[in-house]
Amino acid sequence: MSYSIIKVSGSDAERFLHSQSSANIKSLPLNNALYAAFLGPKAEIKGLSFVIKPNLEKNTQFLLITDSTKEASLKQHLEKFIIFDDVQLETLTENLDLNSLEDSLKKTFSETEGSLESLKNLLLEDFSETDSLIKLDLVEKYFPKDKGCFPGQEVLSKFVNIGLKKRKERSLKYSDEARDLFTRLDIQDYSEIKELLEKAIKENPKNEDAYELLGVIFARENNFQSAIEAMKKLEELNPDSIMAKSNLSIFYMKLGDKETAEDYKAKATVAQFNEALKK
Amino acid sequence: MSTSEQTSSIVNLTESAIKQAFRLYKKEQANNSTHALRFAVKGGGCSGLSYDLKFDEVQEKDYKQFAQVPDEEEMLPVIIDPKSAIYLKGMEVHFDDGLMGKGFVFRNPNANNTCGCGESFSAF
Repeated sequence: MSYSIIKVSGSDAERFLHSQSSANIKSLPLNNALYAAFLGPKAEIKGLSFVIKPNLEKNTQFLLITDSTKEASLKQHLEKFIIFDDVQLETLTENLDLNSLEDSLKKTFSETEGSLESLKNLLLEDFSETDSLIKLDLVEKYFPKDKGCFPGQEVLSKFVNIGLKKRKERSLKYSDEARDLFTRLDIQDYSEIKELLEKAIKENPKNEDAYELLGVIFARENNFQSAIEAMKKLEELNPDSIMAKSNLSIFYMKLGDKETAEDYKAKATVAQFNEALKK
Repeated sequence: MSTSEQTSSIVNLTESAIKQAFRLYKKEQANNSTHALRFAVKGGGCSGLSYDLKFDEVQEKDYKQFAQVPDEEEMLPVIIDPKSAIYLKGMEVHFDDGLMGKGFVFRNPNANNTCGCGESFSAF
């Protein structure tokens, strides 16, 4: 992919970009950057960009890095919304590869260490006119949960909520199926069950049941390091989980780390007391 | 689901466990005819997990299994909630009677360590 840089200047630049994009531009500190999507009324993607807030001369408020092939259409999309605002869009450079993009930014300004660092992992996805953030699995990357109103937001939120509900249901179906296989059948090879659990976690990374069963299976395979990772994830999702702490105590004991095992055993006891107090 | 695999019980009860549980179940049935024997697991205990046995209402999501009562033409209904089932899979439940008996004891055929007090067990 080749990249272009669009300079956004003018006294209304921040408010304009904040209101037009999926990103929290207003809370972006100087010398930092974030990913922003620009959507149409049906939440279709009009542009994807990496927005840098450089510490440059006063008039330059932001730099949008975008796919060179999408640069013209993004500018055209944004210009439609500049009515009474003091906002100017200007393409600075075009068709840069990642290295020359970095060099170009270094030459332009020197105090953007934060954003230059993140350029190393820069990834702007390709998209077609009908693609949405949901279809391309980009909601988490481009749409912070606390972002307010912007074009396409209402439609996107609606789809996200419906989509999330469906994904949670699918996730539960996979983890239930995995548990049924595990508990109902005499099997030694857990690969099919682990595949189902991976699918469950992919659909809903907060599926506690999936991590718990994954930890139990790893432990049955004597892979206690992986079992610990799975149970720590369960503990992270549910800090009150007695089973996570009890299991971690057993797994650390199996690895010979008695100190950590005792620590988790104590934590499990405290969690049990806390649960008893709630009743 | 792989067709080559055999469906099996989650918990295997020994004859002595079935007989003892069935005696208690008959008494329970006089008052609560819809109850079944529930096996549940809690964190804690010297081997890491503690078991809980009680007669309880059957819930929709419970795993259900039936144990043939020796010398009787009756079955003992056993229920296990899904969260407990993953720890109980493959467990053997025995009733340890006699003067020094510990009552119901959970044994894990694959575990190296067993609990001395009989109140907890290791699933790994």
